[in-house]
Amino acid sequence: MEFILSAVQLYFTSLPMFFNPMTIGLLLLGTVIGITFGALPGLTSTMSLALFTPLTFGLESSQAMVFLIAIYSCAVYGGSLSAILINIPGTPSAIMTGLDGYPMSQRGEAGRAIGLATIASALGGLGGMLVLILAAPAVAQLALRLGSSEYALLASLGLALIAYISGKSIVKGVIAGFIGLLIATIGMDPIGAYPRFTFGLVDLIGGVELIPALIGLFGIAEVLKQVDKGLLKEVGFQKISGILSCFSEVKKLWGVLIRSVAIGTFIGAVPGTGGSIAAMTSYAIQKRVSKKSKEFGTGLPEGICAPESANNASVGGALIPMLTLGIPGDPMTAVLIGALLFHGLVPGPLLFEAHPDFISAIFLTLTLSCFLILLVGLAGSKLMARVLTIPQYILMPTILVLCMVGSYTIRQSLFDIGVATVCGILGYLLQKVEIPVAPIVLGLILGPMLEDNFRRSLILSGGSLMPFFTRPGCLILILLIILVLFGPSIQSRLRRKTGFKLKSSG
Amino acid sequence: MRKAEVAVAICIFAVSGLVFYASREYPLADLGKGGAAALFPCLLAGAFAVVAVLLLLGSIVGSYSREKTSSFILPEKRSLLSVVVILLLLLATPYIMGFLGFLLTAFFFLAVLLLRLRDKPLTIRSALTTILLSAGVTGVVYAVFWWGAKVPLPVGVLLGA
Repeated sequence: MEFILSAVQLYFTSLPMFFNPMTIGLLLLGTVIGITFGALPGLTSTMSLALFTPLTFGLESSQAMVFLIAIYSCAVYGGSLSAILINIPGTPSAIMTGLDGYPMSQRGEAGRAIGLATIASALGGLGGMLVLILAAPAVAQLALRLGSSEYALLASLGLALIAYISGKSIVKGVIAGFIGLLIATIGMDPIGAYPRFTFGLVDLIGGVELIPALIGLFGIAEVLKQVDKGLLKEVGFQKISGILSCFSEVKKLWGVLIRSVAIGTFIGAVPGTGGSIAAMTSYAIQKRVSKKSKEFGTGLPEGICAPESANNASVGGALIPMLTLGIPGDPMTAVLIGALLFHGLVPGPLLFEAHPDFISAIFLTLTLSCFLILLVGLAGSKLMARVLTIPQYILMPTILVLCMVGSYTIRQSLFDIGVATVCGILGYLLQKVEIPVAPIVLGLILGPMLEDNFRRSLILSGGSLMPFFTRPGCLILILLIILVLFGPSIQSRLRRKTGFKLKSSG
Repeated sequence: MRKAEVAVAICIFAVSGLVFYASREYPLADLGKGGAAALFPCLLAGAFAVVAVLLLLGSIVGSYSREKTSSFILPEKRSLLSVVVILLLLLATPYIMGFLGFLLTAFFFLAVLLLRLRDKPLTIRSALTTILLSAGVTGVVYAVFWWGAKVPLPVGVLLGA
């Protein structure tokens, strides 16, 4: 009971801040930017966070987080609009929404599909947020007991999760992770402040700035990718009607929503997974348990509600490891870590002790953004459908200008525009040889954490590696790392075996 | 064996070699006293080279991948030219912006790309639209960052003098 009371107390700590018109304005602006960027194909939600982080330069850290969390939460929802209207998911997490949303839209029921996606997203977001409020303080308390050797292994665990976000090839994912780790070694070493790989450049002594690197990897590289594959032709405007009629329909889908929220939050909390895996799993499970499983893909309300509520619930889940351990749940939370560092805050358990108001601002923003999704999504979807008609040949150059200004803003340095450009070219070339970009970010963020804690642990033990194998926390983490590293291959072997059995029995 | 993967592996060997070579100047002794600045980069470079060997082996055996992947594909001529134009503009931007400042550079950057990326033939009307769009977008971005976020954008040597 005391635990719940303290969670509620933490939740309301920063409530007075939300009576400030500036905060409300930032929340609304973040909502509109998030939905717009999420909806527009070619503009990813990670890109939107990387681009708008520099805009928070003059803001107080809590207000900056209100703006960025609103973008994060709403961009996940925004992807569903283009998936439903033009069958091109604005974000990867909306891929499954299009499977049933687009057929419904083709039947002239675009309004109904958008209404269902909006309500499911808002409810999913609220569910994930509820779990975040209850779980995050408890995990933070547990994390306070960890020493430097456990933190080094925790960072290694985060890196091991690359196996899950590697896409087709684990080796290629690992290569990307190493690229991130190597970039992170540029600049002064974390213990002795010895300058490394600076090539005599003063601008590199402080290391490669995270935000310009992320802008390059997710902004410039994405624009180059879109131009490379040929820009989309102009999209026609689609009429939307009957959005509000779906409220009564949602009442029949409570079971779907509760199940999907639980799946989404759990998957979101596993570092390295994110909204797309949550949506896919939820859709697959719903299809398996549904009485209408054969009708999936033909425009079924369940097929929209399951992935949409799961991907929005994953937002709350992904924030648990990010806020309590400093480990990103997905590429978007990796950018959020960059934003926190930009504002001089280090994610981890101490954040809960030192800045409860900041944590509370995140909780309240998540709650309010769910209501705003409902408001803007239901009332403004006709306008959003019009936004989708903006031609890509106008959008892409505009994004590039935002990339330039965003990179410059961090240190007011033209050198950082060069950093973003180099990272953009690197990201583009890597994607051409099917090496994923997301693990680079994990390496960039977890590299300093790994090196700092690994060497600190060596100093404490007088150069011995024994603490890594004698401390109980370390042993558990080593077991988890082994499980994560060999889990996918064991899983695929089991799947092959089961498949074989099924075939032979059939 | 795919050429793209061999090229990636060669790049990795080169990077690992460079990291080892550059790390020879950094201290490595005194693991227990914190003076080992070369330790982490050397460990990474070694592991990176091992991954390159795995990539090469995987490429030969063809068993590392869960699915067959395609190799490096060059874009169509028109898209390739657009990518090259963007890259050249981006690489030149830090130098041009230092001289011309943000406003002129962004306007020039946008105008060139809007003309390059549109797929319809250029008319007087579309040229005017391009100029207006470039000026409008530059103005909005400038206003948002200069007045909204209080970020002093580069004025440039030309106008700042």
